[in-house]
Amino acid sequence: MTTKRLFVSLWPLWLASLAACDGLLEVVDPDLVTPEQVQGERGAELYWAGALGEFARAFSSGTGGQAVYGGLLADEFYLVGTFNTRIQVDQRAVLDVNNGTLLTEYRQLHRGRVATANAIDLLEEFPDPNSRISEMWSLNGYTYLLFAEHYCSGVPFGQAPNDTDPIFGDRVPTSAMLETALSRFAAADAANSGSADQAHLASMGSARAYLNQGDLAAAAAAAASVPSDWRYLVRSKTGGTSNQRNALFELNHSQRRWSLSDVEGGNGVPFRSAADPRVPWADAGPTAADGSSTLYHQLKYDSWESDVTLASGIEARLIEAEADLAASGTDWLMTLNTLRTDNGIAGDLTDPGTSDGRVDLLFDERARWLFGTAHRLGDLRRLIRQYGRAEADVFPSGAFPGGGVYGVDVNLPIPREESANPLLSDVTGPLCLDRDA
Amino acid sequence: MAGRVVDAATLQPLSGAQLVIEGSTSGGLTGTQGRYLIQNLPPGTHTLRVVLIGYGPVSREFSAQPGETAVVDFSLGRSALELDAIVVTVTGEQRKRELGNAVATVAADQVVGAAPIRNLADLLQGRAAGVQLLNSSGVPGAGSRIRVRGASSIALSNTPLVYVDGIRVNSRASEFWQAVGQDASRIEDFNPEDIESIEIVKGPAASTLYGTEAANGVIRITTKQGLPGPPRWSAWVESGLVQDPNDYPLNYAGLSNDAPFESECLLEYVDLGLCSQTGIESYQVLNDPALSPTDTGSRSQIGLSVQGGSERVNYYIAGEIEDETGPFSLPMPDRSDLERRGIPITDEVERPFQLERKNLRVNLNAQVADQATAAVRFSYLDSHTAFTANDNCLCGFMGSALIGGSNPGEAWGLQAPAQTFGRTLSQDVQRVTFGTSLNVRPQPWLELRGTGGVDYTNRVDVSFIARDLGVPGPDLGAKGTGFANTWQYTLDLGGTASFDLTQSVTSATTLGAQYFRHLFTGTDAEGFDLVNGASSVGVAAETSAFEYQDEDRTFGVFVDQLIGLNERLFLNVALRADDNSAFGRDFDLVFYPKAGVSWVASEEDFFPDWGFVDQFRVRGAWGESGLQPRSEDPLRTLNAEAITDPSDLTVSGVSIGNVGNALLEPERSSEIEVGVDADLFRGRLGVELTYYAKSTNGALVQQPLAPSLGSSATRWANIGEVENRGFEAAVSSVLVDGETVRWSVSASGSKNTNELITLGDDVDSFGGFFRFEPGYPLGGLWALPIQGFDDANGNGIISADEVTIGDELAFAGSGFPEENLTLSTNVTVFGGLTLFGLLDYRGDFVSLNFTEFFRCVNVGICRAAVDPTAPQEDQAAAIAGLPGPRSTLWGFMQPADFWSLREVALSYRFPESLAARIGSSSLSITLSGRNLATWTDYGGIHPELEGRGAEADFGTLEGFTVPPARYFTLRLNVGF
Repeated sequence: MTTKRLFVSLWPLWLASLAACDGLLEVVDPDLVTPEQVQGERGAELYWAGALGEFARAFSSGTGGQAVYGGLLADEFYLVGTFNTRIQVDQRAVLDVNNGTLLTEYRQLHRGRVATANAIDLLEEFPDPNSRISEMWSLNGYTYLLFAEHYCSGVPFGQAPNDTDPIFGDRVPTSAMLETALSRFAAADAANSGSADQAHLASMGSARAYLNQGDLAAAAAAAASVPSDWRYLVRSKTGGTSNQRNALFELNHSQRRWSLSDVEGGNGVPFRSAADPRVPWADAGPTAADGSSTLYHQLKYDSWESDVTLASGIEARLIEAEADLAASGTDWLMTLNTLRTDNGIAGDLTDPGTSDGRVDLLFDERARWLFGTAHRLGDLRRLIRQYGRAEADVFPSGAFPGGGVYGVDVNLPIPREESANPLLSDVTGPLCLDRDA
Repeated sequence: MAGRVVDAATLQPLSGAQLVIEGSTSGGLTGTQGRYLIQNLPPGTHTLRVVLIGYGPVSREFSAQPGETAVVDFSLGRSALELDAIVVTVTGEQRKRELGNAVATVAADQVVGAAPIRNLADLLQGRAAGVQLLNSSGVPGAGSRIRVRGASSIALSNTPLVYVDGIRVNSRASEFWQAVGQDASRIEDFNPEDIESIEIVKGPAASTLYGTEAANGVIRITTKQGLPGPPRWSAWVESGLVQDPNDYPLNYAGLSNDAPFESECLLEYVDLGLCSQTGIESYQVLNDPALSPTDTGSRSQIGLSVQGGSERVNYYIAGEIEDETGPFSLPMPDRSDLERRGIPITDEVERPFQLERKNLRVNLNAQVADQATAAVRFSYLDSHTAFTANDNCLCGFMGSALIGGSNPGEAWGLQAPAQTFGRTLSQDVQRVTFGTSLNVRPQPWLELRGTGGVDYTNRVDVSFIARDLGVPGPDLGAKGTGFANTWQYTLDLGGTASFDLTQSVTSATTLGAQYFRHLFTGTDAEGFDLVNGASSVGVAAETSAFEYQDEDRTFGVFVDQLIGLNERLFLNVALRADDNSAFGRDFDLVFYPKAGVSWVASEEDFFPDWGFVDQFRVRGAWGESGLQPRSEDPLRTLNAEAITDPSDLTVSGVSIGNVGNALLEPERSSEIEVGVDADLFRGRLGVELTYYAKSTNGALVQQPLAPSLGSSATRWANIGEVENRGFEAAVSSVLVDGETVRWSVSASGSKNTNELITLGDDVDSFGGFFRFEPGYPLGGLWALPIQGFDDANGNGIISADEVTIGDELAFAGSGFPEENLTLSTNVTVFGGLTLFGLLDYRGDFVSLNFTEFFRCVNVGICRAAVDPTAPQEDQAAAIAGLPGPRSTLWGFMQPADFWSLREVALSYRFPESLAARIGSSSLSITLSGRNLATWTDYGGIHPELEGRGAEADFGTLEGFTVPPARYFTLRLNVGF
C-alpha cells in the first residue's frame, strides 16, 4: 500500500478514535455533589438529614412554610408588607398565575415529600436502630396531610428519580391524599424499630388524618397512646449553609411583614385581646414594613432558633376531646381543663350550653394551643366541611384592611406552573378539581 | 540572492514586502528602497514568493549556484482583494481564493503605531464588517463585548473563540471583583504591538472545523515572527493625555416656602397643589472645576523589539511597559477629610483608576531539519489595574454625584470622593501564553503539523475599606481577596496530503484531531470588622471563604477535502466530530458538516472582457458549529447543607439540587453565506459583499419542571431557536495614487437582524426590561408603552392622569446596534506625511437610560421632575416611571444611534537621510486622538455605556457608568 493510500484510508480510523477518548474527557468538579458520590450507609444518613431540612423548610422555615401561609390564609396572621402575592393569600383571593409565593411554598412542600421518600429508599438498605425510616415515613405522611389540609383537591404527586425519566402524577382528590397519608403512617409504624417518639409521631399523624376524614373515633383511638407531655419538634437553626431559620420569627420580627391577628375579618380568634399566655404578644409600634401599620409581635417564637411543634400530646388530648364532644360525651370539657391546668393556664372553661357554642369553644382552644403550627387552616375547613358552618362565618370576611373585601378562598390553589406536568397540559384554566373546604 | 521589488504601475520601490523561499524558513524583507538580500541558500532550484498586503503575490523560480548571487527583481500589481493572500485555517495555510467563506483580516502591524490603538478592542473596532466591539465602561482596563454576526445563544456566552498562534486562549470576561459594573476582558491582555495580523472567522459556515464552542466565530491572532537577517530593532515611545470631555446632567431642586417641600417642590407636588415653586436650583459637582474629581489623566508606552537571525533560526523579541491613569483624582476637600480620619492617601486613593502593564514576547522559528520547521511562542504579561467601586452603583462617585444635591454645599448624594476613592480595589494579573509548533514535510505532497501549548492566567483581586472611612452603614472596615487561576490547554494535530489528480484538478485532504482543556479554580476570602490600621482578612472579626472550580474538555477529529479545478474553482467538504465533558451522559458525539465553493469567475476564458474588472469571485459556504453547555448543566446534583436534627445536633445533609438532563446537547448553529468579491479599475477599487443566514437550534433554555416533581424549578433543555440574518459590505478604494499624493478610503458596514424564534413549547417569554420574546431580538427592551400625553389642564405640567400608557408590553428596540458602518480615510502626501481618520456609526438600537430614570423617579432631581419648562415628553417619561400599577420605563428607553469620530492620526515619516543622522533606519512621529467627538440624539451621558460591565450579554444600559475618555497621544517610532 502506498503512503498516499495509507493516509487516505486513515480517516475512518480517525473518526473511530473518538470512541476511545472518553477518559480524556473525564472531569471531576469538587464544587458539585452528585448522587454517585453519595452512596452507602453514610450516603443514606446524608439523605435523611437533607430530608429533615427540606421538611423544615416546607413546614416552618425557609421562605415561610405551611405554618406561615396557612396562618395567613386563616386568621392567625395578617400582612403588613407590600408583596402583592402575599396580600392575595391574606385577602383570600389567591391567583394561581404569576404568584411566586404560591409557587415557592407549593414546590417546597413537594420537595419535602420527595426528599423523605428518597431517604426511605436509601435507608431501607441498611440497619436502622434509630428508627429513621419510621421517621421519614411519618414526615412523608405529614406532607400529604398538609397538602390535604392547605390545598385544593387535585394536587398531583410525581418524582424525578436519579436514573430514569421523571414520573409525573395525575390530579389526586383530597380524600385520596388523606388515604395516602394514612398508609404512610402505617408504614412508619411497621418500620419502627422500637422508638417511642416515632411511634407517637406516626400515631399523631394517623389521628390527624382520621380527624380530617371526619372519623373522630378512629382519630381518638390513634391518639390515645400519646402522652400529654410528648411533642415532636421541627428544629430551627441559624448560621452556616442552613436555611432552617424559624420563618414565623423571621417574617414577623425581622422582616416586619407579618402581624399577629385579632378577630381578623370579624370571625377570627381574638389572639391579642384575649391576652392568652399560649399566644404571648407585644406591641412593636408603627414599625411594620409597609411604613405605617402597627406591628404586633407574636412571642411564642422569639428567635430564629425557636423550634416548631409538628405533633404533640396536647394535640392528642384535643383530638380526644373533640371525639368525645362529637359522641355527645361528657369528658371533653374536663379534658380541655386538665390540659389548661397541667400547663399553667389559669381559669377553667365552662360549658357554653349549646352545641355550636361547645364546638366554638373547642376550636378556640385548638387555635390557642396549636397557634402557628399549621393546624388552623385545616380546622377552619373542617368547621365548614364537618360542622356545616358557612365560609363567611368561619374565615375572615367583609372589608379587607388593605382595601376591597375578603375573597372566598378556603384553601390554596395549585399554581399554574404545574401545567408543565404533561398529564395536565390539556387542562385549560385552573388546575384544582374543586376549591371546596 | 538579491533583488528589488517595485510597484508594477508606478515603478516605485516597495518596502516591507515579505520574501519566502517556499518549503523553508529562509526569506527576508525589503527595505525602504525595495531591495532585499537572502544569504546562505543551498544550491539548487528554489521558488521565491513575494507577498505584500495590497498587492497580488508573485512567485518566481530560480537556480542558486555555489558562490554566485542570483538577482531576481519583482513587479507587484495592486490587488485590493488579495485573493492569493495566505490565511491561516484549521487545515493549515490556505489561499483566500480557495475559501468559500469571507475572512476578515486586520493588518495589525500596519495599524498599530499609525493609529491611536490602546488595546486589542481598539484594533478590532471598525475594521471588520460584522464584528461589533461594544464598550462597557470608560475606566482604564474595562473590557469590551465582542459580537460577530449577532447573538446566537440565549443562555451561553456569545463571545467568539480566540486563538493566538494556534493556541486557544482565555477570552472570557472576568469581573473586577466587587467593582459592581466594571469588568475586565481577558482578550485585552494581548499586546497589539506584538500582533502581525488578525483573522476573524465569522460564523459556522467557516468555523465548523473549530468544533464545539465556535458557533460565535473565531478570532485568530498571529504574532510577529522574525525573518532572517541582521538584527532589526524597533523602539517606540508614546505619551498622551486622557480627558473626560463629557457633560453631566444637572441636579435640580424646586424651591418653595411651603413646608415640608422647601427644597423638594417637585412638579407632581405643584400639580397636586401641595406646594408652589419660588425658584429652581441646579448644580452638578462633576461639572464644577473647583470640586469635581475630573482631572486630566495620562498615558504612556515604551517598547523595544528586535528581530533577525540566521537562515536556520530567527527570532522576534519584544517588551513594553504601558501606563495609564484615568481622568479622575481626589479633590482637595476630600483629601483633608481622609487626613483628618487618619487614612493614608496612597497613590491609588489619589488617582483611583490606573492601569499598568508589562509585556514580554519571545517568538522563535527554527529549521530543525531539511523538511521540518519548529516554532516556539512565549508571552508574559504582568498587569495591575486599580479602580474604585463604580458603575451601576450608587456607592461610586459617579452615582453619588448624579444623585447629589443642587448646590455645592450638598454636592454628593451618598458618599463623597473621600469615601468612594478611599475604597480601593485592584486586580493583578500574571499571564503566560506558551505554544510550540512543528511542521514536517516528509514527502513533497504531505505536510504534518502539530501545535501544543497552554494559556495560564493568575488573577488576584483585592478590595479594602478602611475602618472609619465614613461609608454608610457599619463603618467597621472590610477586606476581601480573591484568587483565580485559569488554564487553557491546546493540542492540535493535523496532516494534509496534496495531490494533482490531473493537470487541472488538484486535491488536498486533511485529517486533524484537537484536544482542549479549560480549567478554572478560585478562592475568595472576606473579612469584616477590622481594627484600625489593619488591612488583612486574617485579623477581621468576621470572616468567610469560598472555593470554586470549573473544568471542561473537548476532543474532536475532522476530515476536510478540497478539490481545485484550474486554480479558479474550488470545492470543499468537511466533517468534524466532537465529544465534550459537558455533553449529557446519554448524548455521545456531535457531528458538524461543512461545504463551500469558491469560483474566481474572472479567470475563466468565457468571462466578459470588461476592462474595469480585474478580478471577480463568487463564493458560498454552508456549515455547522456548536456551543457546549456549561459543565454542570447536564448533571444531576445535590445541595449540601448543615441541618439540625431532632436531637438538636448539627449534621450534614443533602437534597436534590439540579435535576440535570442526560440528553443535553450542544447548541447547534447552521449558517449559509454567499458573497461576491470584485477587484476593479486596476486595483483601485475593491468590493466584498456577503449575505448570511444563521440558525441556532437546540439553544439552551431553562425548561420549567412541574413543581410536583419535588425537584429543581427548571432544567436546561435544548428547546430554543435563534436566527441571525444580515449583510456585510466592505469597499476600499484608492482615489488618488500619484507620486506626491495617495488617498485611499474604505467603508465597511453590516446590518444584522437577530430574532428569537422560539423558547420551546412550554416556556413563556421572560425577562424584565431586557426580554426574551419570540419574534424579537434576544434581550430586546420592552415596557408598557407611553402612547401619548396631553396637558389637558394647561398648567404646563404633565401629571400621571395626562399620560396614556398601553396595557400590553411593547417592544422599544434592540439592545444591540443592528447597523454598523465604519468610514476611514488615509491621505499620504510626499510619501512622508499621512493623515488617517476613522468614523464609526452604530444604529438601530436602544439604550436604557437607567441613570436618568433613577434620578427622576427615585430621587426626583432630574429636570423633568422639577422644571416646568422641561420638555413635556420628558415630563411624561418621568411621571410615568413613578411607582404604581402602570409604572413604565418606556420613556427612558432611548434611541442611542450615534456617530463617533473614533480615531484621527497625523504621522510623519522622516526622510532616510534625516533618520540616519541619529543612526536609525526609519523614524516617524504620530500625533493621534481617540474618541474625539460623538454625535447622537441619545438623552443620556453617552450612548456607548454598559453599566453591567463586559459580562452583560444582552441589552445596553447606562447606569451611573464612567463614560469613554478622550485620548491625545504623541508617539515616536524608531527603527535601527
